[in-house]
Amino acid sequence: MLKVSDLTVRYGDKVAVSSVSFEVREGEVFGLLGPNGAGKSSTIKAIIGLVPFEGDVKLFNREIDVRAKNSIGYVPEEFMLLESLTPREFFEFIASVRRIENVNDRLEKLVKAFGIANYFETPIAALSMGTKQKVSIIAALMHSPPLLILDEPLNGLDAKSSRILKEIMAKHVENGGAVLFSTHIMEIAEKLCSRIAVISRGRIVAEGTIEELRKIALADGGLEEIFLKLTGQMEEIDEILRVL
Amino acid sequence: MEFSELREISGVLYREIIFKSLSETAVRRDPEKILKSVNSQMWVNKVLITLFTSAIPIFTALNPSPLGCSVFLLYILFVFVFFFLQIVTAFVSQSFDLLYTLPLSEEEISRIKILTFLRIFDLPLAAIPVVTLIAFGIFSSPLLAFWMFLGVLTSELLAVSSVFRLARFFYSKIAFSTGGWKALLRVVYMIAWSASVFGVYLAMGYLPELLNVHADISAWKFLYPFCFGYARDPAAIAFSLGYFAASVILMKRTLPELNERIAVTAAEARKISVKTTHPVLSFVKKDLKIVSRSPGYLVLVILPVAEGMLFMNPAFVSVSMVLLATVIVAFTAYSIENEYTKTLPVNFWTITAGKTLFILAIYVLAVLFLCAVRILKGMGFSAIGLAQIPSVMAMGVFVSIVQKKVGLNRDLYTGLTPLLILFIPCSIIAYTPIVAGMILRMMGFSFVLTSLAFGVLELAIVVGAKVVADRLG
Repeated sequence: MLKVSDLTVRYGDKVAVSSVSFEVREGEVFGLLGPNGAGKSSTIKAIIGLVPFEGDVKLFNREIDVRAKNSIGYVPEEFMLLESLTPREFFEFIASVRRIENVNDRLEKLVKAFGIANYFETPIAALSMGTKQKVSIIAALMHSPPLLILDEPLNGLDAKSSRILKEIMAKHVENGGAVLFSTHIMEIAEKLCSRIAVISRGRIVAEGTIEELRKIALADGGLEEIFLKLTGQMEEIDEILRVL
Repeated sequence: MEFSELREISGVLYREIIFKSLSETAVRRDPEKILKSVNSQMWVNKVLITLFTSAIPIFTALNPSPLGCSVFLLYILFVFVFFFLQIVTAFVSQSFDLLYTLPLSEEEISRIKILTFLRIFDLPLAAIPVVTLIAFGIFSSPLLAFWMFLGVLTSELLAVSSVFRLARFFYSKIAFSTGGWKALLRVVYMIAWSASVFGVYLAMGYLPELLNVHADISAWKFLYPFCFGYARDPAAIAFSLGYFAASVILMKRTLPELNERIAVTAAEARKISVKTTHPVLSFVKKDLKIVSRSPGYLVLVILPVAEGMLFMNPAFVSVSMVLLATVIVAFTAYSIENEYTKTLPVNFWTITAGKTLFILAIYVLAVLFLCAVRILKGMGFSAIGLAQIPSVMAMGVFVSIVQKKVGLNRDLYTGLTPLLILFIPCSIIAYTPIVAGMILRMMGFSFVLTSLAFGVLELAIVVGAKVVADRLG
């Protein structure tokens, strides 16, 4: 569904992402796993068109143009909401721009599922971080896009909403959709992702299922151990612990 | 905590506020570059405001009539209120939340807030009283110089405290309320808020005339700021001292209120539903809502009317003033957008049409309002303003092209680049049809039809250039 080839992102002289390539297939949750500052969000921002990049990004074998953006639901890592609007006004704007027909039925289900009915007429600026995240998630799901790009979507969510989102993701891929999912939390990646790309210092250091990664890393533990070995952080930790 | 320590903390917050305002609007610049430019950008703004405002006391001191002095002080009050309004949002929002997590007393927090605020405007706030003192000292008398110095301080104190109080009330009670009478109240309040813009123009354009007509009314000398103009009248002196004391007290009372954090209560929805519209209209609707909740933006919306009212006659001068303000509105319209828009399936022409409609709505409303005033004042109807509609549309499309190309969705207050890249070409687009109309009128052609034709031509050129450029890739 989504094919990223040789993607490079630069911020001035600094290279944030270097020649990254991967593919997100239909019916899978593809995890982008990396430590803070590894280049996960920059990769996602490039795919969505928020930062200039070199390389090739294709959705359904076509470049991501304006029209293709209706096939994507995006939850950014940092809020990009119009904070002086209420969730109702914000959803109204998104639904109008995306030309979603009969949106109210789905919107009502999502609003109730994430428990924000009580905040529907409250300015987004006045909402808690978790509720803002729910608004962001609903805005990404409203138009039932085939590809969900979720950048650390569980940040700030309560246990119930977190579970609901995970179930929505599972159902989405079951129905033939795809999810590009970025996280730095190992347990979540291990549980949710069909395949994982481990990104470190702007480069993909390994890619595959957990089993495949285990073989690459020559590790027999969980994803955390695999991850630390692949990103070369195991020795660093040993050294830090020795000093402590 | 020592004053120097409080000042140091205020310096960090000052940079944070400026950084946020720059990074929110910058599109392709990396944070490190923004960080480096924070100080230079702010100094450019400070120097511009200071130069812009310092000329007035010098001119007033050259001919220091009671009337001129009063108008000058009123002008200072309104000008500072206008500039303060552009930044006050940061002081009632979450920018200062960090302070409440630190071991600081409420008094210290309010001091830090006020110090941060003063840092943003320190140069003009300090320079104008000094320039006043020197200018009046040289061109007038030391007594009047001291008196005007006191008057300027009073105006500055009143401006700071009234803006903070207005902001607090607005954001806690009105800004985010939805539906029914509260929406109406918001509009009324926003108009009252925008009185500062009208105030500047009133002080510059109408007040001298008004005061000359009513110069015999002795009550003027008991009112602020007029009393400061009567430096030899004992009653006026007493009232001036009273107003100065009142401004100091008001400021002292405002300080503790800066600590009261704003809480907005949740409003339960009656029904979970939305009404979708055409994408172009959804941009206009969204922009109007955002503008109606931000005093900084609303001031710019009302600016065209205020500019046009400054010189009502002849009509083309009034329209030229409206156009000048519309240029500012045109590129401010794009600063409303944030990055989220880029993630939506919205093409260039949709956003251009939405923004152009928004700009046009503000322009047409201003022109119609001025037409109504002209008719009421017996000056007759003039179609010159309406004839500029195509050129205003051309301006909207041009700004959109530049915004798309350069990524410039910044407002006037964040540096000189947008001013040079957008303001000058936009002004050329806005004024070409009027200048062409004036020239060709001398050759017997109709002013209105000529400028209309030139506007249509401009629109065709701008749209055509974009279409051709897109086709050529």
